[in-house]
Order: sequence, then C-alpha cells, then structure tokens
Amino acid sequence: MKIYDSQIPALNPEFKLEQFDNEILLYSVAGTTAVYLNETGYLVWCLCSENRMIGKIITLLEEAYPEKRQYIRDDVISVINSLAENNVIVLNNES
Amino acid sequence: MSHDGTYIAGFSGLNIEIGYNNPDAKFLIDFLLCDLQREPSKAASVRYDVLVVGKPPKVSLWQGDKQLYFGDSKHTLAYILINEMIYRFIVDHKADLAIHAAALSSNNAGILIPGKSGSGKSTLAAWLTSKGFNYLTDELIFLSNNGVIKPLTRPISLHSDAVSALDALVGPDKEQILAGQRGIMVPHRVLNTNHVPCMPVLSRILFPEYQHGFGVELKKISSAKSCFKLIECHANARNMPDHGFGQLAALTRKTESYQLTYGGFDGLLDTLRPILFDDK
Repeated sequence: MKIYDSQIPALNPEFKLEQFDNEILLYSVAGTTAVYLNETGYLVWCLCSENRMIGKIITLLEEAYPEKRQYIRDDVISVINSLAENNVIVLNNES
Repeated sequence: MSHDGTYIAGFSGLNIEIGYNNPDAKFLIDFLLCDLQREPSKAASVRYDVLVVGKPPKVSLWQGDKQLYFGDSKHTLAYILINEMIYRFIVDHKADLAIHAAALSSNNAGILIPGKSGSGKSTLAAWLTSKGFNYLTDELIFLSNNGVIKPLTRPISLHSDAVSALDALVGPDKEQILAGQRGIMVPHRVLNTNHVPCMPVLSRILFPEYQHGFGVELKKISSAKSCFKLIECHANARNMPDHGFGQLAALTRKTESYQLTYGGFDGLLDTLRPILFDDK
C-alpha cells in the first residue's frame, strides 16, 4: 500500500489495548483479530491517536531519536502499513 | 441374543449418546471414546449411530436420518465422529476457554502444546508420552480462569507424514492402531501404560512448529507473543466476554511460554530437559 506524508491516520475504536511490559496487544472487540506491537509499533500507534499527518509523526520521531534518524521513516511506514492492513487504523485519502 | 446397544461419552458437563449395532461397532466406539466418562445426572444432548455390516464390512455413521459417512474406512468414520463430538462440546460452552492444543502432565504440572492442524503438536505429544509424560490430549482442552486444564482425552491422531517418524515408538503393538489414508490413531496406552486421568494446573506453554529437515530450536517468548499465539488457537472466543482476551492475557502473564521448532527427535531430549524434564 502506498503511504503519503499528507495522510492522517485515525484509530479504529473497535480495538482495545492490553499492555505486557514493553509490548502491546491490540484486539478487536467486534471480531477475533489481534495485533502484536513492539515498542516502536506502540509509539507509532499512540501518535496516530492525535489527528496528525504521517509526515508530522515521522518528524516528531526523528527529532526525539536523532541517532536513529536514517531508519525512522521506513519503520514508521512499515508500522502504518501493518496497522492499516489489520484495520487498526483507517487512512484518509491522499490529499 | 442382541448385540446392539448404546454408549454414553461425556466431557465437561455434556453427554453424547452413540448407538451401535454389533460388537465390531462397539469395539470401534470403545477404541475412540474409552477415556470420555459419562457425566453424572446429565441427559445426552445428541445421538449418533455407528453401524458395521456385511463381509467385507462396511461402516456408516448417522445422526438421526442423516448419513455422515458410509464406506470401508473405520479410521475415516472415527475421525468424523470425534470431530462432530468436539464441535458439540465446544459450540455452546461458556464456562472455560476452549483451546486447540495437546496437553500432558508431569507431577501434576500441566504442559500445554497449542497449535493449528499440522503444527506438530500431536507428534510432539506422542513422543513426550513415550518418554514418560502423562498423556492428556492431542486436540482440545478447556482451560479455567485459575489455569486448570480439562483435557478431552482420545487416541493420538497422527497425519500420514508423521507416521514414519513415530514408527519406532509404537513397537510391536501395531495391531492396536487404527490406520487410514489420512493417517493413524494410536491409543496413548501403547506409548505409555501409566496413564492417570487428571486435571493439572497450567505450568508451561510450548508452541510447536514442525519443519521437515530442521534441527531443534527452543526460544522463550514474551507473554504478549504467547497471548497473541494462543488467540489463534482459541476455539470458543465468540462465547466469551471480550472473546476471552482478558483471561488469555492473565494466564499467559503468569506462565512461562516457549516456541519450539523441530524437524525430528534428535537433540529434542537435551533441548527440552531444562524446561520439562526437571525430574526425568
């Protein structure tokens, strides 16, 4: 799936969160879907909850973790893709 | 003298009635269901009939007027009957989590081996049984909130491709095996005569992954990953509040879980000894 910086992810409210130390499981109360998130995935999921563009999420993380700057864009796009494929987030159309 | 009759098999509060027409049919039912004791003071909720007729014998399985199987294969009939019964036991069960898993015990500690069909859980359960573990099931358990394992005990059912791997374990008792095109069913007592029916408390979770030609690899996995994998084996999620997710999370938080990848039995004993063979 092609992801654009201008897209704004919205959380699917059907998913509930269960925290295990540094890891997270999200599960759908409507179906039997569960999604496993590591620490990075959880951070991205949290940043998706505040009506930000994907480009802004990437910028925020690059500023917070400058030593990992070269990996952050690919990591965020990968997590966003996975969350969208599992219907955990909904992406608006590219504008 | 009449040789027909009725057999009652029970599991976790539900009884199922199976009619038979002669000693051959009764023998087949005994083979399959001898470990499922009738639940006291409960009427049977459904009835099946097993008929064996003719020479060479043809076997058939019925639910009322509906024929579920007719043919030559006792193995296929047994396979269909046990799957029908498992569906009946699970479909309305709300008191416990129904988990698609093998289970064994050792000194009242319960070992759960969850996995989908083909993951290698029955093969691993058969091998562990031959090494002295107490066999409980290779297919289904009900798991209570406090971690008590209630196993549906049946013969070990192995796919055709696992049969050769276990040939040496079965030894000279091959006449006790029910064979068919899909695979074989082995009475667990052939592998370990010291069977003790029990409901142990969950102690370890071992997720198997059979990969032909692979060696052996054992990895401890986190509670989150264990819960995630267990969700895939949860058979009655739709009956439970929040699909049983909270219960699964609570149980995996307090239970050590491992991922075992194996392609044979070489090295398996040494690999598993630290987590399962404390006293063996």
